[in-house]
Amino acid sequence: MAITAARMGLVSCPSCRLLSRAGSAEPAGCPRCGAHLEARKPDSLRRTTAYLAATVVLFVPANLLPVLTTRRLVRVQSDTILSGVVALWTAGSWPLAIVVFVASIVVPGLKVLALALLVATTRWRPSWRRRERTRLYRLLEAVGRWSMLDIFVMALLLALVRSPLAAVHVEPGAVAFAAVVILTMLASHSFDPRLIWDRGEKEP
Amino acid sequence: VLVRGGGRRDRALAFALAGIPLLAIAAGTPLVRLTGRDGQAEATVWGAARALHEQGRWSLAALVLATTLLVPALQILAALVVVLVARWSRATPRSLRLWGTLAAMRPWNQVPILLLGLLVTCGKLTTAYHVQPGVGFVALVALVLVERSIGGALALPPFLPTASAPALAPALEERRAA
Repeated sequence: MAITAARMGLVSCPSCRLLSRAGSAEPAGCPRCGAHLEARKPDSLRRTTAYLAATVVLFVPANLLPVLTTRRLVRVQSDTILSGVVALWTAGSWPLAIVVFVASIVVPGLKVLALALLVATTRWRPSWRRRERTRLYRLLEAVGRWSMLDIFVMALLLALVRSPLAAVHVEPGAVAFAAVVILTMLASHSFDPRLIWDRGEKEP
Repeated sequence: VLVRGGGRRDRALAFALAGIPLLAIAAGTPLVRLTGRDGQAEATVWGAARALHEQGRWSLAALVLATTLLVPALQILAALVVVLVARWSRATPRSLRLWGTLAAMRPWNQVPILLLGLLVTCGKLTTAYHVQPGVGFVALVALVLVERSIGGALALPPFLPTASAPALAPALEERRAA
């Protein structure tokens, strides 16, 4: 059986990282910095599931609605995130196409799937591949924030391409896409990876 | 009182002080300049957010400003307070909580992603325009390096005011006995 701080009756302060005995200090307060102590993030799985559900709902408009409309002289073109990637690829900018594809499509998609897997396995198959799931969570934390790339590209294009001959307009799909990125970050933040090690062990 | 990491603390202080002018330059000076048949254009972080706001996308404008200016500014400020408190007095509960907040803010600092976004934007526009990096671009690169260095220097708190061993000891004893 794996040794965990929780089984040893220890609680780690989320703020100053002091390890203290659960219930040894003033009620639920860190004896060093006074921060509120919780053995685990409260309602972690429920919160993560709620954020994930909202992400899945917004994932559809984020990928189907146009995010950017470009006007050059009389030619007007609206692009979704995927069609923007295709346009970059066909224009010969395949390194940029790969970067945008990975950051804007692969990372958010995989993040949703991976978080759903983490929540589902923590709930229903807690003892399944704990070590690999912990690594998966660490990976999510590391790469998750890179999805905001397209929002910055749009903002910079908007500031740069503003002339009578050419202009860009940010469409509602961009707002949905930004919401997806923020929600996946919140989902990842609300998931408590220590839950991976908490459940499913036979008590000695 | 145990004090540790004097070197790291001074490094963090130096990097945090360097971060202030770098952030100001990155925010206020052009990141990139475009020259084309239809004239010249330049983009600043502030200008990009303002352009989004002018198109009615205030939520995106707020997101850009918060993640590229506000959060980095708060991080630098928090790092300064934490390090100065550690340097001249004992750690206070407030400074310890601030150190915890500093770590929690890290994912919301999007300056490295802005930098990558800038490179992608330049790559997109090079076929139609002459693209020239501005002073803000250099400041942004330096800011990313400075923020990484602050994060590295403050990965552990720059002070250890009370040892955690007394709290741990009974549990470890119980474990050994079991």
